[in-house]
Amino acid sequence: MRQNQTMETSDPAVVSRAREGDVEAFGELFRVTHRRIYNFVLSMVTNPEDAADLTQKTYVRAWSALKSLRSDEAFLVWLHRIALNVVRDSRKRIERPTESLDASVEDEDSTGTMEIPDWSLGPEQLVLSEDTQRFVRRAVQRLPEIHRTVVAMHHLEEMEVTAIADVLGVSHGTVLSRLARAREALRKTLEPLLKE
Amino acid sequence: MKPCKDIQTQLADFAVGALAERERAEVESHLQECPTCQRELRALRQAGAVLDALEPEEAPADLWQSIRREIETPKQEPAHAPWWEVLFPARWPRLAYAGLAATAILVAALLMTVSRLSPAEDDETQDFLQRHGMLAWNDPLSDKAALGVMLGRSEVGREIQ
Repeated sequence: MRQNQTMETSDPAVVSRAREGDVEAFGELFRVTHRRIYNFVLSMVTNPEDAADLTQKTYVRAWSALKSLRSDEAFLVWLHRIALNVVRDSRKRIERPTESLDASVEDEDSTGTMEIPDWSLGPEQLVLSEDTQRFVRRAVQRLPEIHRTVVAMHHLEEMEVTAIADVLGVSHGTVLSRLARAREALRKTLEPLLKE
Repeated sequence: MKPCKDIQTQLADFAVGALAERERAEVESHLQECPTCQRELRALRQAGAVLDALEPEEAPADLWQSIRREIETPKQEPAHAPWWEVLFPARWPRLAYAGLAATAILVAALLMTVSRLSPAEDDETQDFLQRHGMLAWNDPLSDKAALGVMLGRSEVGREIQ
């Protein structure tokens, strides 16, 4: 079952203390946000080592830029924007070969050992086995990056569509459209897991 | 009623709530009578539920320690770089240096050509200065020595001599 991943709101008082240079307060902000930021970065770079490195850079940059955070600005949205810029900057420096999106998911993860989810439990109680998780993750990684990013923010981070649009600088409709295209692609790939 | 082919292109948008009022009503009306499209919509919703059930990945446990170390380490002032590194930073690609050298050669060649093509303008200036100097000869405050040297070197001066 998914661990407690409800929409964590960063306490404005803690943000304010961090702005004054309180490292402990910044540590508290890290504790409530890092999982989201790491998964957001991971959705763009796919490699866990790179994701950890870029997440670190995101928080270091955020620490030095905290003074520029407007008091009415949502800390989490602001942090996502920094993460997005950190990833973009890293791409300007290093041109990495991108992973081929043509290979099929089944090439690497056999569906033979996967447990089919128990749909009688209802979507809220759906539990995925380790193998199934790996299979779904692979399927998500094969999506184009613009779709992966919205899938990570919406389904893993449980971010509102408006907040996603705010981070990416696109319209509400664009986010929904990307989610729909991702859903279409995954519906085909995840066919073995879906109930008739 | 719209054919299934048309409705199925809209089902994913319908599932995520991306359709406008009129289109949504059309899809809803079609779904009431079409078990095939109902199955397709169920599959799309299940794909969404599988994504919702996906566990987020865990970040490395020592990430905060690394961040804290970095933000608490005072930033060192960059060492004073030698002038050639300031002018030609090592991070520039070789192509940039090649472009810079080519531009410098081009500019030098252009300047040399221009200076050869327009000597008249230079002579004209010299001539004006010399004549002006001669006119100032009778001025009691003029620098006779400097004027003498200048006139001595000039064509006008040679004519006087």
